[in-house]
Amino acid sequence: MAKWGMVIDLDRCTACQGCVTACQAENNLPPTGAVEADRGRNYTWMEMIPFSGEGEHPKPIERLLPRPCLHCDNPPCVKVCPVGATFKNEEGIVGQIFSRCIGCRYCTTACPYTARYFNWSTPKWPAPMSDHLNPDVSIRPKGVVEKCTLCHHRLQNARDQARAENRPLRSGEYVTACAEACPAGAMVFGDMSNPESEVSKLAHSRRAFKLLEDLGTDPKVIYLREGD
Amino acid sequence: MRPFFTVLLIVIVLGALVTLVKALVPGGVPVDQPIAFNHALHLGDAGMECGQCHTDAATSRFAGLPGKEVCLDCHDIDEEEGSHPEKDKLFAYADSDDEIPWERVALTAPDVFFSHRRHVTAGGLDCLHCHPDQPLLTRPPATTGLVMAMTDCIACHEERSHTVDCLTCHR
Repeated sequence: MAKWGMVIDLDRCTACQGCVTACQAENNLPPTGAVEADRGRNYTWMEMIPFSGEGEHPKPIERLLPRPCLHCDNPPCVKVCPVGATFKNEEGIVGQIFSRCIGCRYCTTACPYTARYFNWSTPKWPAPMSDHLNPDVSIRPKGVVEKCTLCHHRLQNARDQARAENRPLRSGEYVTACAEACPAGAMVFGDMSNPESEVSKLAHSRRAFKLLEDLGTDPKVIYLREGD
Repeated sequence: MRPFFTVLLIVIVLGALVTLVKALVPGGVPVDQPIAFNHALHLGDAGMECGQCHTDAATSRFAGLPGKEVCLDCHDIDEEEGSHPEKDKLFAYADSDDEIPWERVALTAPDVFFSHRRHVTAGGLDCLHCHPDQPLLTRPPATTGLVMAMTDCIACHEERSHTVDCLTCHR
């Protein structure tokens, strides 16, 4: 059984936010406008988290860390959901079933990575964006929590194609929109359970670290720090 | 009686009435199809297969509704015009630039993603497995309606030891 995960090389990442844009287009994330954004109500399943304070004038260092849902192997959000709307499936993807969510927001509080978003309003897209939504992803209604699904619909489409051709799923056939869009090649996505996969090898490199590792959430999105 | 309790009583009675009417009247939104297509005739006497008209079932998420050119592959306007009022409706579309505006009747909830391709090609299911009444219909269904309930899907998946992961259908 595959275990899907991603490695993000911070040494390669140029913080261009191509992954953020790709995610928003792929997953039908609506623009919220300046007023709502100012209230912290943006929907950014893939978010750039800024870290500053390093370095001194005239060369201060501003670091930006791309943060999707980290799809923890020990997800705190799943434990607190009172209705079973969020769960970890057998391939390690932390899913969110919008139609089952009651909007209590326990999960948004429990997630230490702030990777979950509550829908404060009915999503709206200005024309012509409204004509170009992804038909493979649902429009989430007001009052539910949503999050990154590791583009699970892409896995299903790739698997359908493989089954139609009567062959196993090939390596690299299922890639998330963010990893596909990254122009710097900083995001590598794949099967963590396969020791020969690139993502698995990178995840075991000396540069690898997990975000807030001491919490014991065991994320499957792993970062690579600077260095050789 | 206090006004609050009067209003509450009216709300309860109205709610009960709505529930009763919904239970007694078959569900779905009324549908008026542009042509009263006879499935029984085409699948029975004419000996056709579902895939001849619903051409995308094996390759796409949606089975597809036939365009007029599919009908005109078999029906000849010169020989059959005037022979049946429903055929004349088809020939009227054939003479115009308009496509036949079929209405979808098998709808799923907005967050449910059912793939015909996955079930027909990978699963090897026959159309009648999920649409058993279709060959008996002499007229189009009068209302929309969910053909399947989630319990039906799960029962079939469990019977065949297929996944019942929520993400398989819900997104």
